Amino acid sequence: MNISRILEAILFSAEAPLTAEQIAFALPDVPQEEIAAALEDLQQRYEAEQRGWRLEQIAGGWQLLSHPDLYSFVERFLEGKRRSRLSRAALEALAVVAYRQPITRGELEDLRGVDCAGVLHTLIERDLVTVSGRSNAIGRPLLYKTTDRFLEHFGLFSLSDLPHLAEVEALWGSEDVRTQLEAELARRLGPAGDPSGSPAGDRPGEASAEAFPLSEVEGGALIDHAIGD
Amino acid sequence: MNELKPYGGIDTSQFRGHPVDLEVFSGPLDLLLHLIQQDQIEIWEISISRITRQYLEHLQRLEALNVEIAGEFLVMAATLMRIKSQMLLPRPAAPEEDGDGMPLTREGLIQRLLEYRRYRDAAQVLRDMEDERRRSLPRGWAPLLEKSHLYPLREARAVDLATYLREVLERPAPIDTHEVQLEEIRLEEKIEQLLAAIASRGDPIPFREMIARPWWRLEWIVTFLALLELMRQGKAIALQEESFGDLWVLAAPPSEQGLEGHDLDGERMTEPMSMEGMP
Repeated sequence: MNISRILEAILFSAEAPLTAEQIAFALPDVPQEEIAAALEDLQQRYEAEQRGWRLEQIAGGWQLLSHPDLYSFVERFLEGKRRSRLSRAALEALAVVAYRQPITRGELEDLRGVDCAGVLHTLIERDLVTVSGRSNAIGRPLLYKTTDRFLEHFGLFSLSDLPHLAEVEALWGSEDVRTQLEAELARRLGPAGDPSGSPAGDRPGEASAEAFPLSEVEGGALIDHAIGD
Repeated sequence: MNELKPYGGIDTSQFRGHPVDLEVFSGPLDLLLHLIQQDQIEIWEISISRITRQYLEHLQRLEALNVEIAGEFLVMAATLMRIKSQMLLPRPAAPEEDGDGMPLTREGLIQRLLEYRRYRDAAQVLRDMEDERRRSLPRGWAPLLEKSHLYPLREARAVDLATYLREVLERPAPIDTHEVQLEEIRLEEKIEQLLAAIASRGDPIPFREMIARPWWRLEWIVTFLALLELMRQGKAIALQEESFGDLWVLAAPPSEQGLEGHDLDGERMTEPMSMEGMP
């Protein structure tokens, strides 16, 4: 029996990535290695034959996808109804969850400096983020992690395929950013060591010397102001 | 009511809440709330207990309880209390601590902002990946698109209509709305509206678009009755894509109209409707 044809039929019937285990379930008598080799063979054959689709390794599995080269035609067929992109706020929150998972909403909000209930809800609704358990911190807050759908959405095979933060950082000089941030902080909060100009004010129960609640200085806005895009 | 002090740029005439009389403010309660929220009056100069006492005295003078006014007052008093208690509580974030239990210093703040900046740039990389990935579509994507312009619809039967209505009625209402006033809605008016809507548009109209206030069950029911009446008269056709699916309403072609030729009057709506199993 021709394994390639069977694999083709199975992949054709699926709308989500199929793991090697799922495929092996349909072919109990065929060794895993043989299936894996046949899949790679299919992948190369499609590419060599310049098919309209590709076989890609995504979200821990295999999936048939239309070839990106042909997107302009597919797009016309779809009459411009593209798959929706995430908003910038949602994407930022998602990036934090992806790199710091599992993470609580509080930790996420500390990092972004803004309330994240809304975006978190959106991300959960779109099945990009899910609850992974509870933290042992006080109140046992929920922990969040990314889903397989997340990998699929960004075309990743696994979380280890996320770009390394160090590489991302290499795109900009961190010392340069630091200088600009310090200047912007000095302008907003007064010079270093003298926080009397803090916008936190002097009402009872508010920030004491040399301590700035980050919520007073929304991270995104501050960075935008200091550095721009 | 005492003369209102002029407050910068605010049209005080739009505020008609229950009047309160305090040292720093005399006027309607909703204006006071507005000024506090605008930071024109400091919340700690306001005695909520005094506002409440004045209000309770006012209520005792009234012969009948006006639920609407009482409700408004409760909302405003609760908002004032929330603002005030928030101001009295120490800010939980100050002094904030970093992972080592040290207060968050300027250096700590910079560290955190730099970390945030890393994630923001990572988000941009993810955006590029997302855009690239969106150029490849998996199988089964296209059928998920809206097909509103295609409407391969079949004619709905009475039982479909009844099932649809039941499904609509069982839909939970939004929690944050409440209907206190009893409003009236006339079947004759609804019939006219429906007729005008389908006559002005050649295409089928989604039934739900005919409902101006979706949270109001009575309007669903009356609109539904109006649709049934128009169908009985042969002036409208209802289409449905699938059982339990959305209803679409379309004007009947002229040849089908006027079979019964009744004039519209409410009395004709006495025809018994099969509503078995309706809530």
